[in-house]
Amino acid sequence: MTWRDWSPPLLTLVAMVVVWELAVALLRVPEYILPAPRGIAAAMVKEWRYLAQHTWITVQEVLLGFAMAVAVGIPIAMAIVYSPLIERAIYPLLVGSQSVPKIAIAPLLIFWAGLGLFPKVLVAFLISFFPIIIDTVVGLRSVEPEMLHLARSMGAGAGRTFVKIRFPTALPNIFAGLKVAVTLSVVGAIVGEFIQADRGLGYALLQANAVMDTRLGFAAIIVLSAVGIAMFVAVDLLERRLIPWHASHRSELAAGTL
Amino acid sequence: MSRRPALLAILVALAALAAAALPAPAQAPRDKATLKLNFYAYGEHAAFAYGVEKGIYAEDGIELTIVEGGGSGKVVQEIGIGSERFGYADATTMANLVSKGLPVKMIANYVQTSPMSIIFFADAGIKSPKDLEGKKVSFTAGDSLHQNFPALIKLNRVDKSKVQEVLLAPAAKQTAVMTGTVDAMGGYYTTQAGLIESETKKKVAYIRYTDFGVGAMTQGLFVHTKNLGEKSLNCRMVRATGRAWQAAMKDPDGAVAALHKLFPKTNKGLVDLTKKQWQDSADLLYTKSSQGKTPGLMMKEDWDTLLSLAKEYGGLEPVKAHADYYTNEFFDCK
Amino acid sequence: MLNGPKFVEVSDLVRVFPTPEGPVRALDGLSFDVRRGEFLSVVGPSGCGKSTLAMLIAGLLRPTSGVITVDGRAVDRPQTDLGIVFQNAVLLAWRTALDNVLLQLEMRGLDPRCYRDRAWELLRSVGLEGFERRLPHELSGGMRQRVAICRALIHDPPLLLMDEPFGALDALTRDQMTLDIQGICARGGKTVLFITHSITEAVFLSDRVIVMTPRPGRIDSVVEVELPRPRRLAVRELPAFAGYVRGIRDRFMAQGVLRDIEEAPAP
Repeated sequence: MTWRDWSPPLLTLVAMVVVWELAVALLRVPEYILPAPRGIAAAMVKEWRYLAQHTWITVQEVLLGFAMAVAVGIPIAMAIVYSPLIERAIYPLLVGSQSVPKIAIAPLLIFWAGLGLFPKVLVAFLISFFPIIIDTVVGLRSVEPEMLHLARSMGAGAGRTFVKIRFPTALPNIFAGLKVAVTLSVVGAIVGEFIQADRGLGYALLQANAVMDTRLGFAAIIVLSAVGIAMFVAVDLLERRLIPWHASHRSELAAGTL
Repeated sequence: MSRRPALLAILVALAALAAAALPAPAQAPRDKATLKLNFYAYGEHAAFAYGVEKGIYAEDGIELTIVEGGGSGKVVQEIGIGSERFGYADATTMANLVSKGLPVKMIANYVQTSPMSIIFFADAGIKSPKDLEGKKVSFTAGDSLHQNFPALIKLNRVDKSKVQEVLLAPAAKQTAVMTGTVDAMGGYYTTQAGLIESETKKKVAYIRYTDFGVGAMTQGLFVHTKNLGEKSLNCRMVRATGRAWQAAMKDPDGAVAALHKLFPKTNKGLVDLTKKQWQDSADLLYTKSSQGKTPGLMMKEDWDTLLSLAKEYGGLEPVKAHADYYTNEFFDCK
Repeated sequence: MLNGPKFVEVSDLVRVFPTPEGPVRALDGLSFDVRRGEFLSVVGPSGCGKSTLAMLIAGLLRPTSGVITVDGRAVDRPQTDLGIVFQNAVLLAWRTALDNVLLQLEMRGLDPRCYRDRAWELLRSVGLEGFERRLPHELSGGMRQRVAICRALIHDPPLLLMDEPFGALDALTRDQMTLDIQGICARGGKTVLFITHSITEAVFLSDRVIVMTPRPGRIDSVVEVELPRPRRLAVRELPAFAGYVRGIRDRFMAQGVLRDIEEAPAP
């Protein structure tokens, strides 16, 4: 990534921070409503160890929840693509499950999953696995029919066809799903922490709110956003490594010459 | 040849002496238990922290871990499904869930006079519930303040239609008063009055529900009914907590320091605020009926009051026998 | 060639498709043979069932009734001893030209490394020398189709099925490919079934041309093309060539598939 890539968002961010700082000062906004960026930065520096400890907890929840979503979502997508019966049975239930606000099942969640890391991992999983399924199904189905004819005429079984043709074809779509899912995993981990937690960035945020420590609260929010961005970038980098051939990664110049 | 056995005997004797001289092994293994607080740490909890810091719990063979909770409602439910060994939460909230079948029971109560109040800036000119007519008051839907407000209104002949209730999430409820969006809020003066004053640097005043005829016991220790059989641990917990409470009342600075050591983020580190919170809460240890008794002991009359208030204004249903809600058995240990 | 042994035999082939509007008779009783080493084209209007025919011979579709045999064996499952080229080259976007050709072998469970040299040779023979490591998006349509052809040949199948392979290419590339495919097939002694819209292409390439009717598809006529091989571009100027083309065009006019403009009335 070049300076040209970095500078627009960075400069926009800097501009926003400056406006924020001025607004708080000029409008005399009380700190318990909105702290100034300076105060938030001070809190971040002062409490970096505290924030780091809680960030680590939340990061674990996000990674495990996301891993679970991938481990469960992709096989379900495969089942949907390969079995019309499963598709008809499961699909409507999956869609319905997404409409249930996870906070509503909080007591059930604690009952089944107990306390500690697992319930948060579970909520992260529940919120993020759906886009993985949808996008993987689309991807697996995006193979051209002629390619499948050719595969059969090459004598390849379903397994080999899947590994060499269907799955690689689906990767661009799968990665689209993964990128959405990873940011949702962050949301899910926090929702899980809001339901019950005594560790993690969600806990830190709620505790800060309870004692009206808005600086620390916003600091936690900023760290959380950074975590989300980092996760997204990680998946994006992985995508660039695994599917460099895809149209979305080519620069404007190369495409359109032939 | 006969010297060998003798030598051996001496060595064995020496070994036995040495073993005897070693410090006695740690006293009978301590019971490990976790206590879940009703909320994020604030002044009221200082006694528990003090008890841990000063070894009061350790003396009674309890290795106590304290964790914060996310509100009485949640904490009661969590204990009810068997998470932590001890919970500390509001009695009315617990009673409501007991009526619904949650297997929990209160074993001691430490904030027996209710801290429920209407809190406002001192210049709002409110001296009694009647003065709330024509004002906006913020509550959080479903919390004890909101549930008991109708009782306050009724008993003090306030015209309900002239009081505007605004329902907000807990944090917002507080900021609404601070920004002047509402005139007053329902809250615990022990925790919130000082906090608001500290943030806004403006004088804060309050009227207590209990001074106007509405009051019930609030925070206490409770357990899952399956743990009622562990008489020894429960007894020791109750005893140690009572002692911790008294010790903390004698040494508020030490108690507050202990709390801040355990939970550094308490009140953003504002030790003075925590001290005020603790002292105000400690004042509420007893009711008229329980005055002078062992700290934590619950009186039948006070549970009568709690249950009738909860039934009439909080929808507690069905009202079970007292024995289903609480027990004083752990104050009476052989 | 004219009286060689039969390689593909089709008898009374019928294929009916169920559709929401009712059953559609795509092929209505076809019978013909393809002789070993022969280049046979099938021409017909859209919807006459030419592609269906190719799919049936490849075993990718089941006949409603009728029998197909290839090299003496009945076709009752997808055939693997053949090469298929579709109008769409369908290369895998993440594989180089070379690796796309080698896919044919990998899918059969063979070790592609043993065939690298052969694949290289094949690509060179179709004029793709230097492009072996290019990805499909770096190749033109004609190049991609040539890769597809190599892929269909790498395992040296006796039979080649080509379904409008040059349909998506521009006219010049098309002309070139027609010339090239001639050489490729002749060299290997392949039996070829070639589906096309283009009458001139069919006549230029084939030993025989089967003319089909519109749906339901039947055989209208079979034309023996007796032009000497190898056929260079100039063959297209020969009167005999024009004669074959006109003959087939007349069949389409008779079917009503082609309609000429009215002649101006004599003054």
